[in-house]
Amino acid sequence: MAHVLIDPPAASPLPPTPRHSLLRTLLRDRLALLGVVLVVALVLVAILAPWLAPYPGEGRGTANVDAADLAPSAAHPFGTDELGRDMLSRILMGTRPALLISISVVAVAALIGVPLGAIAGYRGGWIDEALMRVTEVFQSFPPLLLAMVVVALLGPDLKNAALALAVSWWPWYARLVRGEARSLRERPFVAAAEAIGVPSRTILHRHIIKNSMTPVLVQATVDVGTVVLAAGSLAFIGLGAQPPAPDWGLMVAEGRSQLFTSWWVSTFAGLAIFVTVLAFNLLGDSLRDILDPRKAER
Amino acid sequence: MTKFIAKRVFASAVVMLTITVLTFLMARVVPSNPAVIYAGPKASPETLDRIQSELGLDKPLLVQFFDYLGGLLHGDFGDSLATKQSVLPDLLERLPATLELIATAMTIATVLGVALGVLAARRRSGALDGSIRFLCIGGISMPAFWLGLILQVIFVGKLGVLPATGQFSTEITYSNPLETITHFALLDCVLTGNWVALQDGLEHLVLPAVTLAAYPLGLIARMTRASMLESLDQDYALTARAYGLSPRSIVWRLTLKNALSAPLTIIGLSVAYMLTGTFFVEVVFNWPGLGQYATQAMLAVDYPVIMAITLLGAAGYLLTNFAVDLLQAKLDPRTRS
Amino acid sequence: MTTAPALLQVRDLQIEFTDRGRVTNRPVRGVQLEIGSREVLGVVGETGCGKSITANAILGTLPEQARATGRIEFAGVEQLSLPERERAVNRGDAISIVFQNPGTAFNPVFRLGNQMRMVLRRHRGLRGRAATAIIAERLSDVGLTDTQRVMNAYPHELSGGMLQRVMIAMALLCEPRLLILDEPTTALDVTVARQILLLILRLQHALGFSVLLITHDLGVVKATCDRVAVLYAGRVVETGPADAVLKTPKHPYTQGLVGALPGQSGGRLRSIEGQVPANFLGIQGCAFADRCYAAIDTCRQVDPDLRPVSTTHEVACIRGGEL
Repeated sequence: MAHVLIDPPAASPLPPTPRHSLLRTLLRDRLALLGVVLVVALVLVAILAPWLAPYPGEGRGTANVDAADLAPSAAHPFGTDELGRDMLSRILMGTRPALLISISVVAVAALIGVPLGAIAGYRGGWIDEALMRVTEVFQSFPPLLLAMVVVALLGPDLKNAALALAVSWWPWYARLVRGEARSLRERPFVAAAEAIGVPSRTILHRHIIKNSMTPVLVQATVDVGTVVLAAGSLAFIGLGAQPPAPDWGLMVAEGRSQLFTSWWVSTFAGLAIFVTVLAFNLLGDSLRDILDPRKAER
Repeated sequence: MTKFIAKRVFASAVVMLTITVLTFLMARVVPSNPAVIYAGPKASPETLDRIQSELGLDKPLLVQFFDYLGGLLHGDFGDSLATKQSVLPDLLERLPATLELIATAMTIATVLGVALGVLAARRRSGALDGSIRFLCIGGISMPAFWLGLILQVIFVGKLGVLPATGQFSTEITYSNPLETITHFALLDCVLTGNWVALQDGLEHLVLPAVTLAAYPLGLIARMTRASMLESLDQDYALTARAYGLSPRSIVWRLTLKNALSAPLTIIGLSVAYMLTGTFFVEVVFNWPGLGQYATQAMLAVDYPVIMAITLLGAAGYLLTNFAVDLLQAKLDPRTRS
Repeated sequence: MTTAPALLQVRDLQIEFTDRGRVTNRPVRGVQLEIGSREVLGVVGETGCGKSITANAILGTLPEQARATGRIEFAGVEQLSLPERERAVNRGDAISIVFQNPGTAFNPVFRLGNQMRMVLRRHRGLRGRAATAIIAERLSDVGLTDTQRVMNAYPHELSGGMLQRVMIAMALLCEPRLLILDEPTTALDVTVARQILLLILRLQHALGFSVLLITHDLGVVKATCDRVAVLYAGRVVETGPADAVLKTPKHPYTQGLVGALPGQSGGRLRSIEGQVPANFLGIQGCAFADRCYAAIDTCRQVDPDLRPVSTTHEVACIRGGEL
């Protein structure tokens, strides 16, 4: 017979509440802080661009050929492009469309993917099977290829690029939420809700979807950056925004022909994309560390 | 194991078939008339009709699809609307340049990525760890096409130490012409002992390869670090220490094997990224590979080429994932049973 | 007590955890231990008393943020002042350890034979056939007959009991003088645990190594140990021959432990109220005073040292003589 084990259950200190540590962690980790500051700055620029830009008209596309190809100076901190447009204004004015497109794409992808994934994961059975097969097909395309094909066939413009990106993005959300839903389905509070006869639509909404919002939020934050990068890439090869739109990817492409004489055009436009993607990556990473300690990177 | 492979092959075949249907349908709902693209904008209505029937566009959709599928099984992807030539030979001619680029970039990303990841994990929370973490997230956030241009500005424009674009200098084709054996240009240089061309080719390869490697390098390093930290925290790492093994052999000989399984999936993902990432890099560096060919086809709505590229890309992705799964099973005996 | 110089002597061992220069905990607060050659010492106490970390200090495998002071003498050589490289030479060789959970202690992606080979190569420079021969011999010593199959197996392919036998075989590869057993049977089934204990005893008799057995199970101590040291909150509160300590426990904590054994106190199980403090930094006086039935005011001010109650039996309690 077993001897009595005298171990009492080890008293574990309660983990600090997420809300409390959210702010603290963001402030402590310098990289996270950088992410927060950059994202806030980007949003402010997106809103205030018409007032911040020194030449808002040029930012929107009006040419000013007398001032073409000027190197960075006090009057034009980022120089001017082939058509004499002030690059600082172009880049500032490009912030709003970049963020708007990206946020819409992510929102649409999540709006399609989250409910589908939740239903599939919660119900299981043939719905689940069918959804998994469909997402598998979508995910068999190397990233961006599906979007490129769709844009190419529909005709290159910004709206089609956004549509194409949303179409190729939703399966990731469906998969993510399905995984969460499957594990949530096994949890006692769901079983309890089922036992007392809560309708399954309410369970789906109240228990499944709400409880899987954390990873969705983290993913969406990172994706806002990734979509800016994707849309910029499409525009760069001519499958996105068309001239004279103030689109960062397009500006990089426009600067390419005089890369070695007017390096500033491509450089600063690309820098804007880089900083935006970096900002959302940093923010998303730290959100993951805080909200989802299991997957934290330490 | 054979059962596992057979299942995967079957599943992949189903996916490929679905993708074929999908791309075919997408190509048929395209608003622009393929015949117009083929004949050019000034063609008369009679010419268009003739071309329509020549391309089989007047047949029912289902017949068209089975014609296409039948062609695929014989390796016939149809004719390019732009060049009026069969797609497959064009693809095959450009494939080696792309593969050479991807393989080089992948080698850089894997070797450096794993090394940096392990280094960061060993110096956890130190200054080196912090710098590597920032480098990784920077690499992941960097638009490849922009990085390529920046590298050109620096190494070509300012320093003038490397060539800007292309696979070889034009002079080489006169002074040390390449002989073709394998179609892999650098390999051919080695096989024929054409060292001048080899050096020239390598100089042309550096910038595009580094550009393409930046993103996967960041991913791999990050994943290696995280997974290395996790496995260094496991009981078996303590056992190794308790049996007198040195920190170096614990990291490089013991725990790295445990830790590699997670980055391996990332390596699969990285190859997938490169399949399209190379499009942009090839455009920037004027690299004579598939990516450039594909980009031009997309801008010209050359749908047979687009479809072929899509199928090839998906096949490449499936193949990569398959290889990763096999490797993973090799690394971790637990997944085998 | 053994008259020959002890194989292992731990004197006033203190271990502190620090975080950026600040002391965050002091899990070991002056531990004294002594193991003679061929002796089996049991170290008992509840979880969180500092048993395992003491073993780690003896081996030299403390975590980075921990700092040990005091003296640890092994075979006459002070260990704490040795550089890490020299300590590593002993680990798995003269001092070996068997961990609690064989399922996680082995590396899942290497064959068991290869994991054992790495130890022999490290300490004996042996490879190939010579190594295989030793490994096979040790495996049959621990009762595993199909040695070839075991060597080729991955950890997940064997049962917990078999794995623990392999662990013991690995620990004995280099014929250690001291074997540390850190709760070697806790993760196993009762019947398997018994077999493993018997095996260890048999091997100890045959090979003549000393044992430091960490356990929270007094029944195991009773069955296996020559002497016992009872740990509470990072200090030894009672030590002496196993029979004496179990039969006439002097410290109220030991009395509580013994009382909790089945078959004592008229068939009723007793338990000790309260639990071990989570952090030992703020402890004043005797750490057990708050849970002690016999505590008096002085107990909360004075932290007693070990005092003899007989020639071999010592207790750290100001009322130790009278209880």
